Amino acid sequence: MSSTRTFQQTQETKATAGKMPIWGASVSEVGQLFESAEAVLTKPNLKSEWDGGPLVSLLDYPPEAPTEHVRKDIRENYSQLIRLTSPRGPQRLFEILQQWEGVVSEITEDSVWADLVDLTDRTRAEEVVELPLAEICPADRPILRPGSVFYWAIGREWTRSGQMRRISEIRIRRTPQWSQHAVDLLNAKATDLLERFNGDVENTAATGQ
Amino acid sequence: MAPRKIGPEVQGASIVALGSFNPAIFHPLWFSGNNLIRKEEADGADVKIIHSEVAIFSAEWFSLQVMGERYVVETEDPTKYQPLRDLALGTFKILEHTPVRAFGFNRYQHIRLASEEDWHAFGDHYVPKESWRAVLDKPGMRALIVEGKREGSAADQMQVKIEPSRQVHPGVFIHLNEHYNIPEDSSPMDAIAFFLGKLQSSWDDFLAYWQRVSQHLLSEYREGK
Repeated sequence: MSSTRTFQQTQETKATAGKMPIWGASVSEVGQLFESAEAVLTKPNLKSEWDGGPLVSLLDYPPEAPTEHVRKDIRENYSQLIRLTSPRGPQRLFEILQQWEGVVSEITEDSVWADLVDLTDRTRAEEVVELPLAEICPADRPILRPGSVFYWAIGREWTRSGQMRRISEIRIRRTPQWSQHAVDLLNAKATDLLERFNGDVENTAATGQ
Repeated sequence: MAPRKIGPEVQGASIVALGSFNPAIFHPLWFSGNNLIRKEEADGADVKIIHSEVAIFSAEWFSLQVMGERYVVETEDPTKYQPLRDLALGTFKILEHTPVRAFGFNRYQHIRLASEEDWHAFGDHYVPKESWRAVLDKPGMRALIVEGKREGSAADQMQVKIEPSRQVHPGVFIHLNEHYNIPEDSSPMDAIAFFLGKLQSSWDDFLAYWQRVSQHLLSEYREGK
């Protein structure tokens, strides 16, 4: 029963957003726009989906949850319209003092060399900097290589209780992994170009031009 | 929770696209699997719902909502406006066949003003009350939207909205929206290329324009005081 209650509470407390002014409202905008928000989603076919497998993959249900009482709860408590909530992301009270975009030029055993562009004042000249490798988040180190782009912000952050702390934060830019299909296409194109190039070289040698 | 009296106020940015989306794809693990976010961020995401008709979750620094015709990704972390752009770019580089017909950039901020007098002066400057006093007692500005174009931008429309802030008092909420329509005769691939091209080339300019607009709005009314 606890999972049922959690589900209901989840739906009730998270349900407010929906139809927002097309451009006016983004996901949340911190409560500024929600008063005019009304739900517009039509009811999905929950029953058929639920019978077949994972339906609402995360609504606080344990894996064994889709039992009869949960199904009943969905049938009885879902209205014709789902009233969606805004997925409020974490709000961060951060004052940027300076921010750079960097390109890694060299990686040594314990440091990273990079060329920096000042994002807070783009008229400033580029700088070269050596950063300790420890400044890079461990989650980003596997993708760190010469040519990697990163964002570096320094500033002051306030906690909810009002405590201020100084922060330096680096994040490596992430780009999509090449799909095998894309790699195959590029390989085919490269092979084609190589063959054409070799053919041109042979033709040129044959004609003596 | 103790009231916070110093420091910056809440601000954010978002990228919105209208088109035809498949919400079920937009799972945190899809993003980490495609190297768009850290695996730890995907593992720690707060997923509200992933379903064929809607996907909603928030991760460490962004939130995402996708419905059949609407995609919104947003951050309220001012250090992540570039990563937000990269996230949208990466997403639609992978989903390159997604039909998109319009998109928009948003930037907003709550700004605390020095005094109640300043707060009234701000509203009076942008919405003078003289015209309203004949028909309303105590008229006050609730919201003001002004639209136009940003010089040098290919966007169809720029909207600036100002409201009294509901977060800080005395304070104002300033919201900028830049809207792009994609030509109707564009193929899906051309439409995505247009969207990604503008994200790549105009996002930083849009953010810089926000600074200019907000600073102008906050200095202009003081000159009229």
